[in-house]
Amino acid sequence: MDVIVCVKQIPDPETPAAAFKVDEAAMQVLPAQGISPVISPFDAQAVEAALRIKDASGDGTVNIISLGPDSARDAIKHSLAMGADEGYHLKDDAFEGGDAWTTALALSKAIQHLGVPDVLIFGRQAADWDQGTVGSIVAELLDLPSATVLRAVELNGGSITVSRVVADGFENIDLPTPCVLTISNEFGDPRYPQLRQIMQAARKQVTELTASDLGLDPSEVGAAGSRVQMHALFQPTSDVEVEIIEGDTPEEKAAGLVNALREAKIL
Amino acid sequence: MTRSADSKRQTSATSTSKRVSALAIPAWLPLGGILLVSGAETVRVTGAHRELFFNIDHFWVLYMLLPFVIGIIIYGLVRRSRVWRLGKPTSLLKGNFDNLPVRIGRLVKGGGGTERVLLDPYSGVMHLCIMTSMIVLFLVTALLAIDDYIPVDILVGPRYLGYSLVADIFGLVGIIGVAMAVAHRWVRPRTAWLPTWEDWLILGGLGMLLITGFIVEGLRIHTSEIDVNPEWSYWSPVGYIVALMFSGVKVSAALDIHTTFWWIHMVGALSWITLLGYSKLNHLVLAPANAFLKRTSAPGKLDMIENIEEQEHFGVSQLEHFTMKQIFELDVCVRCGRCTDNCPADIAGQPLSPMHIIQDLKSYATAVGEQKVANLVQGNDLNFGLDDEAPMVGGVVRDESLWACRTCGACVEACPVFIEHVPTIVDMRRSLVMEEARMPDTVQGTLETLERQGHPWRGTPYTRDSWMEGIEDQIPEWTGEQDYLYFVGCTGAFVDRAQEITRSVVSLLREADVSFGVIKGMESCNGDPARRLGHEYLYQILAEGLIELFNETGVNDEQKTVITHCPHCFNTFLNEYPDMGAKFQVIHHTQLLEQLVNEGRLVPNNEVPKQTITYHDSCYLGRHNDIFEAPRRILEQVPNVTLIEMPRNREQGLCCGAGGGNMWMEEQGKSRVNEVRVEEAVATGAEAACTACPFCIQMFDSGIGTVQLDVEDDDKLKVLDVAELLQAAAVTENHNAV
Repeated sequence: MDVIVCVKQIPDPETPAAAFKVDEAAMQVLPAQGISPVISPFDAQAVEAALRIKDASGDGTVNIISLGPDSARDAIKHSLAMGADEGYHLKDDAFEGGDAWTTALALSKAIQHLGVPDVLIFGRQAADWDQGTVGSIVAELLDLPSATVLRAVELNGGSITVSRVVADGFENIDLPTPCVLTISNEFGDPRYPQLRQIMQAARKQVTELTASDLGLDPSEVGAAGSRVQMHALFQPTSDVEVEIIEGDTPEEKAAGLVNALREAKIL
Repeated sequence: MTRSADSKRQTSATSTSKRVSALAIPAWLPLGGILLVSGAETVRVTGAHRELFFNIDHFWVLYMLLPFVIGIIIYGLVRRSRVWRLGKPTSLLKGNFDNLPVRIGRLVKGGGGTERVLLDPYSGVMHLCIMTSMIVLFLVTALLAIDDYIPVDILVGPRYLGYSLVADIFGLVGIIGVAMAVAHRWVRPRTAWLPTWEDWLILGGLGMLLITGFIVEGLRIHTSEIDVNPEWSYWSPVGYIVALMFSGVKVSAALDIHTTFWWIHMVGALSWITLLGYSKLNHLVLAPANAFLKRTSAPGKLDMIENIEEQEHFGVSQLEHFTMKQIFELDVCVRCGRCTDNCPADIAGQPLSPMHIIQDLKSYATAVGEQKVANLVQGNDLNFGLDDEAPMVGGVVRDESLWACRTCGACVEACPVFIEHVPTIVDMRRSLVMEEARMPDTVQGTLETLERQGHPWRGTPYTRDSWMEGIEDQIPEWTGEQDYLYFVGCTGAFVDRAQEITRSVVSLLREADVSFGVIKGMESCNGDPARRLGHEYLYQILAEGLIELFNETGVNDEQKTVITHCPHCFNTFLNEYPDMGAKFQVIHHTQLLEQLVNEGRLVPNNEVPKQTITYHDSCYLGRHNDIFEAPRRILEQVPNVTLIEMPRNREQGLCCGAGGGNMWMEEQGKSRVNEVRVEEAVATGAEAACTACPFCIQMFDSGIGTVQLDVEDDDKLKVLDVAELLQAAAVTENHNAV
């Protein structure tokens, strides 16, 4: 069974809050010193899901597509080290400054360029902007059935049985192939690459594709094609005030707490 | 202060020489005995002697057997050596011996002198009894043969009687030793101990030899001496008693019994000695050889995988991935169990026994190794016919045992036959991590954080420079001009408790007006956690990165010294970075602080509360780098402080539980190592425990949380770094970096 996984490189979510800075004027996140960007954790789980599908079906390929600057190659290499077969890097100055729509458009063209596989997998959302829309837009653009926020994926003859995480439990559904899946963190930890695979991945060629390779006009993608306009980017500040409720007995303290909560109009 | 190991090793060298001179005494006893009796020569005993091969015909059969016996022994050892030679050659086995004097010293003291065996009083005495008995009885027999072949009779008169007395005494000493060994196996409980057929064959055989020897002697005395020259018999006291026991037996019958026992004794002796080639009795030869072959580098050093990108495998997953020395070492093990008795994981009831790892690998080397040798001989694939064997890593040795190792070196320190368990364990971890990518989740998280963020502290809310917030102007930036670089390290920067130690060290350096600087914001991990966790490749990447930073900033210079308050950074910089091209000097903060106190640049005369303190040795500072006294001498100079020791201290110190990357693992087993250690510290009655390692401090803090759960906060054991105590005692207000 052939699978394509779309992955995104993001600033390491483990970056301590103190090291997280934005440039409010340029409306950009400033990279933290000494901390390398990483593959979005949900996307690493998407690669894990793809590799398990490949293993379960016994044949096929797992290919990786990522759209982003030079450094996005590391996210592709990480996926290759995990065991993916080929990597494709959508790299073009014209892609810069895009939104979920332009990203999904470019990805869908790339997928058509490579041939629509049996299964297309995304992370449920990129862990930096947390929009969670690219997978669904690609499904629409390619006119494919999709299931989002999955905690389990199983091959079931020709179809695929998945389990979605929903507000009040799990929803199990069957999908035909080809289809689009987005993987949630409940799926489980991605594998840690073996050193030999890391070294093989380092030597592997990643194919670069530009907007014109995909038949896209620069006006359709990147900042020019964006449908989302950003008006401001800033770090919200929150002030925490602590008040210790005094009292000699637990009853007095509780009464004090109730009064304080009433004053704050919480009760 | 320097890379020279000599100065550091002085402490242990002096204590060693005392033990060895004590050991020399038993060796003089036999000769002294003979001289004493010769001096007391009297007319009555002038003709004393005994007839060689008394009452024995066809004794030449023995001489015919001797070449066969030697051949059988050599065949056994040579056959075994083919399994050893499956391993990779090391420079050692090509005859490139570094530090030859150290090796010869070990061969003499540790091999011949059994220096480490004697550290355990019971088994030390037992072993000494058996060993001296064997040596003396061998010499006695050899002397008898020599006397027979040379024209002059040496063993006549008083010399003969002295000779006889010595032989009897040491025969008895041997019996005592064997009895102690048997009792040891029956009575004395030991955690790690498992007697097998080998034990009973060796001990039973030896006991039988000694007893039949006395029976033969007694019968000879009974039939030929006691009636004729009774006063000679007194010089063979044990034989004399045996003779009295046979006094009712007719001489003719006694002569027959004598002949039978003589042959049992002689053929038995020749059979027993062949065990040398086929059982752990081979330690007579292999243990001294292993003492000679043991690495002379610092015990905490791990060897580098050279050209790692070109390797066909990473770490050890097959027998032939070990070095020849590592396979050889398996055969040296005598199952004494001291490694396991001293292992922090085993003490805490966790799934690791170093002895069982060595023994299980030894059994594996016997079964699988010999099949591999046969495959080589027959030109088959090395693993032909071995598909059904359990894998060595993950089967014979379980993953959880490999992960439970603290790399603390207590096993290596305790091993009387100089086995190095830790590099063998880490080699198998390397295979788990790099080859199989199979590891506990928390280990994976730590390695990922090291890869991405250059430190092991996943989830820390701090940055590299958080510890200097508000006091930036008091921290001199490294310019390349100062004498010392203070390397803060990841723990000193990212863990809040350790940030306090960092600030204490800075305060002390400022107080003593030391020329130092800090590389602000740019430090990265030196790779130690990755290396101990088995990720050699990540270690090398991190180390190359840091050395590049040191090159760019002028640190990597023979004139510059790096100060570290972390024994793990210290060990890596001192012992492992030279392999990566490091030239700088390294000093641990306790060494520098002691020096500054001695020079009067730090004067500990501030008022500190009266307190009793116990010092906990960090494994990587103490056992691995022989720094035991510097921190203690600092504590002794702080007024109002009384220093007391835990029973396990210095070379025998117990790990805090964090070593070998266990700082970042969930412990499995009955209890936690840090709780065991905290209980030991609390039992001394001390108010505070001092140490010199930021990991030990965290482990103590968390251990106190559970061990002293019900104790009022004020009465709980306090845990301090030596620097923090010295800061309180010696830093004036305006130098406090707080």
